[in-house]
Amino acid sequence: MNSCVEKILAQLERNFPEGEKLCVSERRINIRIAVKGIKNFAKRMRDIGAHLSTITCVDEIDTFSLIYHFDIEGCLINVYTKVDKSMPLVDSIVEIYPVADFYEREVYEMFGVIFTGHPRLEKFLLPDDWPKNVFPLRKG
Amino acid sequence: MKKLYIPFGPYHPALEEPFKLDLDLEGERVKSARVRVGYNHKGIEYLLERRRYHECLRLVERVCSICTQSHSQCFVQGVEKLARIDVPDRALYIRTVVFELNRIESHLLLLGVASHLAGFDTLFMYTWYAREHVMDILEVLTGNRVQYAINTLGGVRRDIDEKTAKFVLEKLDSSLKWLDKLKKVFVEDPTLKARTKEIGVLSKDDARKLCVVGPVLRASGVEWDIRRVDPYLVYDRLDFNIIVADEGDVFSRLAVRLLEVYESARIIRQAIKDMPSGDIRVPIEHVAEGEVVSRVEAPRGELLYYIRSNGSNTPERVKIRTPTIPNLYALEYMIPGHRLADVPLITGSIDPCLSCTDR
Repeated sequence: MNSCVEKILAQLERNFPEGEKLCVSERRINIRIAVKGIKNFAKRMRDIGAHLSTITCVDEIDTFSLIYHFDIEGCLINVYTKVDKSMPLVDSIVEIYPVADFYEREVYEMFGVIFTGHPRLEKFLLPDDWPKNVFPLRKG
Repeated sequence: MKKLYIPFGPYHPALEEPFKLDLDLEGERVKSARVRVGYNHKGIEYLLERRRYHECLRLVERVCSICTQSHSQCFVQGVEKLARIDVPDRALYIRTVVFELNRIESHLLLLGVASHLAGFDTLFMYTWYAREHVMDILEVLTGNRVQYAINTLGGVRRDIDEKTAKFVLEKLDSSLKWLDKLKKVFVEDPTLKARTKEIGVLSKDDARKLCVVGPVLRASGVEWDIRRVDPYLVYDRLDFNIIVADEGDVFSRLAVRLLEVYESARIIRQAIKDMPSGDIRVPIEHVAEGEVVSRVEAPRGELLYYIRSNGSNTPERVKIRTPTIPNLYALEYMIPGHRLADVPLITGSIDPCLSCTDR
């Protein structure tokens, strides 16, 4: 393991005690946090200068997994949260990371996850007349 | 003054690909800009969940043809990691050569398009002439001008023999010799400078805040390149510089790309010189259950693939984050305050690839 990962791990232990470490490999750290803590987490990530690469959503049949990919000095920190499929509500992080505007809109239209506090939760890739409640990347 | 709304696009003579900018103007100045994409949506993430891995590889190459090698490399290195195989060194070097040729070709394309948008059509044609040498190299190396398809799962499809290597180096030299003449024009020509300096400025702090990537970020003074910070292929064994400029305007974005062409050429020369002998591919047996986040530095910046496998012959989920998405978002911050006539040039300077964005 390189020293960069160790340095960042130490920083994460100090700043994010609530995160449960899942697995650590070379230049990759996976953390799981509760969904209601995401906004606070993102705020502290911004304060230590992390870059938000993207937000991935995966349909796990009974829940959604949201994965926030942050980068610090080339080390990717993948933050996993679980979202209830019957009430898919997540706090938006647009006011912390403006670019999340696009990433959240894509997750919204493809999976139907609703980001509360998003200033314009509109269509991103799909046409404006796309039928309501049809989410192309949902499974089952 | 009364506000005027102008829909810039989706089909507009100044745009190479379809996307829409909703512009609010006061007089000639843009007050606000909003980006709308999706006019070329292909649903590739959906299709990937229904294809076998070797079919997926051919599909991801077609996400975009101008950075086809980046998509192919990013996908293939993720799958190879899941399958736990070590790709032979010779294949890694061949992939690096094609990757950097792809970067040169893409950067020269944009430099040509940008000079066209600046109203300098002679420079546009001369730049594309320099690019044509690189296209010849790619055709000889891979058999294709655009969709190279050189990567296979576990290696590469074609070897480089001595005769081809000599041809590559000779052609590369003639392309750069041609570009040397143009470099002076790009960097020193007063008309081009007057047209591109101090417009579309993105400060260092804003660039970090908006999470832009690639040459747009480096032109704003941030030294961040995936080839250096999260090395893949054989970049940790090669010597190259990361080009950074401080001004963050259209001019420096073009200058960064122009100078990166020379660094790419350095990488290609080293890779061909150091190329070890040996196999060019190994068979891939089984893609194990698991997930991987793979990143490469595409010509436009950080390209990210998230691949999850459930152990079957098709991926469970593939997420593609292309570099143009954050760069396009930054347009909403770069354009306001400028004149309408500057909009095409600012848009062009981020090198938008809508085929990538829309997937």
